[in-house]
Amino acid sequence: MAKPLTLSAALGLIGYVLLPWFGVEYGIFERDWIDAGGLLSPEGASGLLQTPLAGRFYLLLPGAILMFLLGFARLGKPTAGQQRIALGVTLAGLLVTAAPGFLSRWTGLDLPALGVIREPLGYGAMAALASMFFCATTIWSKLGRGNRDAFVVGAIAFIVALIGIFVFYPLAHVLGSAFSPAGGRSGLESAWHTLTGSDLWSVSCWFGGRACGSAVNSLTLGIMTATSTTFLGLAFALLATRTRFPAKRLLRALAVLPVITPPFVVGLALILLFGRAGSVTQFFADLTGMDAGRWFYGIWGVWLGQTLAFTPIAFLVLVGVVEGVSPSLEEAAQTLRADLGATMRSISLPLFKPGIANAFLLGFIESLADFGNPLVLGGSHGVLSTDIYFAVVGAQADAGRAGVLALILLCMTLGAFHVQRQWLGKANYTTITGKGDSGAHAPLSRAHSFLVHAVTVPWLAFTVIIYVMIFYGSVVKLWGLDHSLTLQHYVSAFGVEWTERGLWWNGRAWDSFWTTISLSAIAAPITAAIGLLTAWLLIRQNFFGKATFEFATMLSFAVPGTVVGVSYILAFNAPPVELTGTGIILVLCFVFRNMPVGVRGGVAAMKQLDPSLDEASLTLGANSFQTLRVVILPLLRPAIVAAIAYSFIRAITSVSAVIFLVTADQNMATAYIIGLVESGEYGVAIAYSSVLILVMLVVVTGVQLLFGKRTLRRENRLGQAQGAIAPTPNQAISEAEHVPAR
Amino acid sequence: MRNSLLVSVAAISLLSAAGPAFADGRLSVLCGAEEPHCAALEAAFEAKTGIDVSMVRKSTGEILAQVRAEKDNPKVDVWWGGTGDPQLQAAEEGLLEPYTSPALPDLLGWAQNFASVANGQATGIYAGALGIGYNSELLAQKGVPAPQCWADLIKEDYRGEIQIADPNSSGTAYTALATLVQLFDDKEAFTYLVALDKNVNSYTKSGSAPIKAAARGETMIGISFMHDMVTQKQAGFPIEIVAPCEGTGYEIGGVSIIKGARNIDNAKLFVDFALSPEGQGAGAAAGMNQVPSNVNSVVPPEAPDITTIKLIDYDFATYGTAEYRTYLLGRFAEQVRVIE
Amino acid sequence: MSQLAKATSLANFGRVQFTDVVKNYGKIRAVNGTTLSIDPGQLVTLLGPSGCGKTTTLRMIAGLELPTAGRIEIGDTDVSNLPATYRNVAMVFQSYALFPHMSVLDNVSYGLRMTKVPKADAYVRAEQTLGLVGLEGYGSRLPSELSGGQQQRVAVARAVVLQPEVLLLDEPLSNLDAKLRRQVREEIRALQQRLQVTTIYVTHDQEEAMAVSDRIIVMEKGEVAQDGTPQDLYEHPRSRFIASFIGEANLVPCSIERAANGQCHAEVNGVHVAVPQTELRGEATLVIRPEATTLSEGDGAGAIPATVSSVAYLGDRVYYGLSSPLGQLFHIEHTSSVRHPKSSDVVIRFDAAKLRVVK
Repeated sequence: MAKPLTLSAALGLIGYVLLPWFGVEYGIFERDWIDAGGLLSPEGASGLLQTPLAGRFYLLLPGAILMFLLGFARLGKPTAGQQRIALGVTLAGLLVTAAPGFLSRWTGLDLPALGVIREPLGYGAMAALASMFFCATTIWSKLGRGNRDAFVVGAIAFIVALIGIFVFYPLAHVLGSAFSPAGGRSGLESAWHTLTGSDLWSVSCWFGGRACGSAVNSLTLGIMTATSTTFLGLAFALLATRTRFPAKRLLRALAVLPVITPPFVVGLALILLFGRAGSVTQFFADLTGMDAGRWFYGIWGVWLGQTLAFTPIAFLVLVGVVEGVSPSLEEAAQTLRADLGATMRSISLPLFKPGIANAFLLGFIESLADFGNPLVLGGSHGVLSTDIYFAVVGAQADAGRAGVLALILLCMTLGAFHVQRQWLGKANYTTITGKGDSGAHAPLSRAHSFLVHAVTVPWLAFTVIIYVMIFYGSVVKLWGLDHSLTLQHYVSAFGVEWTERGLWWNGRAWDSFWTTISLSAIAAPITAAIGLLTAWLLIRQNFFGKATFEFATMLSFAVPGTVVGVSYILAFNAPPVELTGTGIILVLCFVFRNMPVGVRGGVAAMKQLDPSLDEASLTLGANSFQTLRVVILPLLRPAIVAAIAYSFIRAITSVSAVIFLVTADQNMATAYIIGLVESGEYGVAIAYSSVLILVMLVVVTGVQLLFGKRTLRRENRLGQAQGAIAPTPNQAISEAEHVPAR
Repeated sequence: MRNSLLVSVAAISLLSAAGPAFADGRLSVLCGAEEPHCAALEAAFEAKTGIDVSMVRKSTGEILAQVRAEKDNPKVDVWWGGTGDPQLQAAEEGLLEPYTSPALPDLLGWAQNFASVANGQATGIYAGALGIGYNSELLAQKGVPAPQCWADLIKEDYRGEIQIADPNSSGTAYTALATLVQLFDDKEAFTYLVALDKNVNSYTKSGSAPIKAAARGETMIGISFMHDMVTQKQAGFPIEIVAPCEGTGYEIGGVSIIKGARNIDNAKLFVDFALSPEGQGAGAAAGMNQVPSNVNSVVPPEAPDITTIKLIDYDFATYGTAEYRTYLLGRFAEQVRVIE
Repeated sequence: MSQLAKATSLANFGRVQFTDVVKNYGKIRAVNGTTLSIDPGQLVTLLGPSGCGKTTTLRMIAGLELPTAGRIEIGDTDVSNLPATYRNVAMVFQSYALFPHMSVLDNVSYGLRMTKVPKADAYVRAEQTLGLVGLEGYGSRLPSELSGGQQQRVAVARAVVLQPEVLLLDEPLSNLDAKLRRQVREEIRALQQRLQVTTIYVTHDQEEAMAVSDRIIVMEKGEVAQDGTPQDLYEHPRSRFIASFIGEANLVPCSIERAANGQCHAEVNGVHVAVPQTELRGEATLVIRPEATTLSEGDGAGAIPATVSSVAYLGDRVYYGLSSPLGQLFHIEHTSSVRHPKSSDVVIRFDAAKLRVVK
């Protein structure tokens, strides 16, 4: 007990003595801080030095509490009473350190003597708070009866605190702004006024009117996109697993492409094909003699753009399910006189139901949250995500309206979650086949095979054409007008010049490019770590409120990016937690946006690990942290690599949340590309995107080559080992799930 | 994990290498103009002063939202470019720092006037007149006459062929709205807009989008600033530019210092530079065609000649107020962009 | 851990004591107020059908589950709330749970390294222990490169290298084929005798339990049904459940009467069978082990007539199914010839001393 407590308290104390207590402009890694006097200036002083330099006596308290904890840690065997006292003191310390700032923010009070001031907390305060937090969890873990490992308790509390601060706290601000009084109306009135507006709920476009409300548009589009992506995704999944389609590797590669394509780019290519002056539209106009119209702008264009972008997600979800259905079930059906078509209808498709529901839900949520396609292709067709954006940045900045719209969007996604749960009920046919489950999947019947090919092959060709066009657009002078080949867009974006002062990165894209790469690279491992830690807690630990915990960890996935962006601005633009304008807020945004992906990946991978491996390690004297580090993590390497790669990509390509959070110092590639698109510099925008695509491809394949090979061999070993010792993953899981019955 | 950390550390060190190595102080600028214009000005200022400028291009609406959100603790120093109207808004809200540049006496009358309307919190850097641009190929194809006046635009000939930005999101479109109200009167202007609505195929989000769509043949007519039209024409697109016969309004692009800027001295240097002939030349060099505000600046050869255009006496003082804006936008939403 | 070991006096080292231990999973009660005591150095089997609570009991000794109520002691220490990490016990898992990404030597030395034994020492001791289980020289292999039997021995070595106070084995033979099973269980017994380590062995196979145990604890529905030596359990079953679970027996419902001469009789369908002295009266079950019956032709006093209804020839023994006034019975004859063909009439005689009556 003494060791983690000592360590935690000591680190907190170091932070208290050596790090600036309040926020420092530009951070301590820049010269500005040292020039201003560093720790010896009143603004930059550490917690300890705040008293002599700025007369802030109340800041002696956190130091005293940390010293107390250090002393307490040296007690050999504290009694339960002593521990309770220590816990109380630590909690009080947390409160006096964190509360005054919030008090000042919420009440507007200004009591400098008590620390109720509008100053952002800095590194020192954060270190002290984190230290006290972990001291509290450590002491608490020793107090109670039960399997309370200090590390497990600390980890659970840590995740809960993070989700509280970075998911719920910002969302609470959205809620608050939705009900804030505006324009002479009370909060509730103005929220009601927005909520019931015909600009949201009008369905007149169905009856020949000009336009529908944006909420109706969002819903319609969400259902259309979810349907089309699920249908196409299923067709591709069947193509990849149940046919002898020759280019399956190409299929997987093409599935990855849209995932790593920055937004807007596909939209531009679509305009060149289907816009009024687009080649396809012109071709049909010439053919039929009809007037080439602007049919593409609006719901059809957005639908096509979203279907292109999100079909791969449905494919990746469904291919797992289609492969996962136990072949012996299909074989059984065939021995019972069902032909191939009947087997598909009566056995396979019903077994795909959970996968189909998942794919549909994902498509729906992605469509609701999508921002790029409606912006480029939507014309006057407003959807909620763009409406929120313009409620914030429009001429009449209306945070209340933005809040209400965000709430509607959130309710829609949560509602979809709920409907999916209801529809699936307890149906879960995920038959993760172990080694024991041999047999071959039934091929498609001729009719089904024909249908699948008829759907997928043209779509595949279409996707290829789009990407060829995109690349072409980056090497021609002026897309759509002057098609002479040139590299000028690449030079303009990524030029490097050798001057007498050294290398000059004079390309316009370099700043945002390096910011994007470095912030994404910082966010990716953190995302993976938090995601996998959460997965480990969910799968391997039992604790009170686990179901709620699980829901909370998945919530940030249901919150559309635009809402996240707005909520982060609202929550973190003012003391005590002031993060706007820094790279940190972007990193945090990436981490908590993408964490659910890491959690899901980790859960899936961890379910494949026989829980007796953990137990063996525990009975051999390892504690839970050692077990996680030495046994679980090495075995989860493929999942870790995948989680890191995926969060890296998601961070680079995200736009809807980012657009609110970028600043001059921390500009992200996608936000920059929007600017290029807006000023009509399609060539540079596409060149920039092509480079990003290339970078992500290199990173993903590089990671695969570096870690993938070893991973595979280990995986094989694992498979062999488990195969040889009989409990297949399947058994291991069913055993794990049936523990309570024993 | 260790690897990625190394990578990110390496990336950060490269990042700091990406800026000029001779950094001498720093400056954070929000740029509301077109991206090449921003980049050209940034490069010119860095080269002259050695100050490390971080500049991000955002739409003027985004800039105003950010400046408002950060008013307690601003992270940016200077707001440069874009329609001047939101800067007047910010000035009205007290978000900007008054600064009288020594270059002020060298500025043209409209720029000085802009500064006085803004109570010295913003200064005019360039002007651009609102115009009608059409795609000559599409026009010929359809066999309709070229529009010459605002009044022409509501003719049946142009049904579904006109694009204009949404004044709720675009400063350009608000300028157009205010121009029409000043040209006609309230009632007439909105009657006109309701009629125009029948011909509008899309209210775009960004002010320059309509003329870009016209350039690429996605729409026949776009209402934008003329200097943006010139840029498209120079690129080789079949765009013809029309100064409406009734007269037209114009925008003044402004530069201002954010109240509470952390690098106030550098910010002043930047404003002085932005008002100097040298700074204003950067835009022309980047292919921008606005009319610069300094009498000594070289007017880009392709810039629309403001002296030959019938300009209205745009009342920035009235139409820049929050009260009038709310009134006009509210009316626009209720009467023009109605959704039953 | 070393503190625990020190705290335990030598005489009690390896003792395990359960006092009124209860384990609930939500509303389901897996272990229901168990009290049991295991003496140092014994090999004790927890035997019972699946779901009887034996694995839960074992996992509570390991510290993988903590009891809902009650007290568990190992040696002289109350470990009721001590998690697995800090207990001086080692466990061999049913699946072996060998870490697939570590070599055999790393697997075996894992526990030592976790308890801060210097790496070099840990490897030396692991190597020695591998020798003990006959796997010297296999240290650098991966678990997947071993046969099932070898993996099992690695799992045992990994556990005993820690010189635990108590060694736990969770169905250690269930993944081996029948031939290997007999060999390995003898090896385990020999190793246990050599190390004199208290060993608790969970199985559902009564033959395996009888073969290796000093003592067997039979569990049923979360409770201890009977606790004793293999012979005790076989010869003096305390309940119908034990009688049917341990060995083979005909279980015949009967009623017990006491004759004037003090002799006890079991009455079944009007037939009276003499049984040993018993306190039971009224409704009971007559336990007829195959070795308590003899078959012959003809008739005689005290003999019960029967007809052979089925015959199964198994080489070294013959199973007879019999229709008798007592109902359907079976009998085993350890001969290699069929003496009574199907449908032949025979008589059954009971060896009264070998009959048992249970509730």
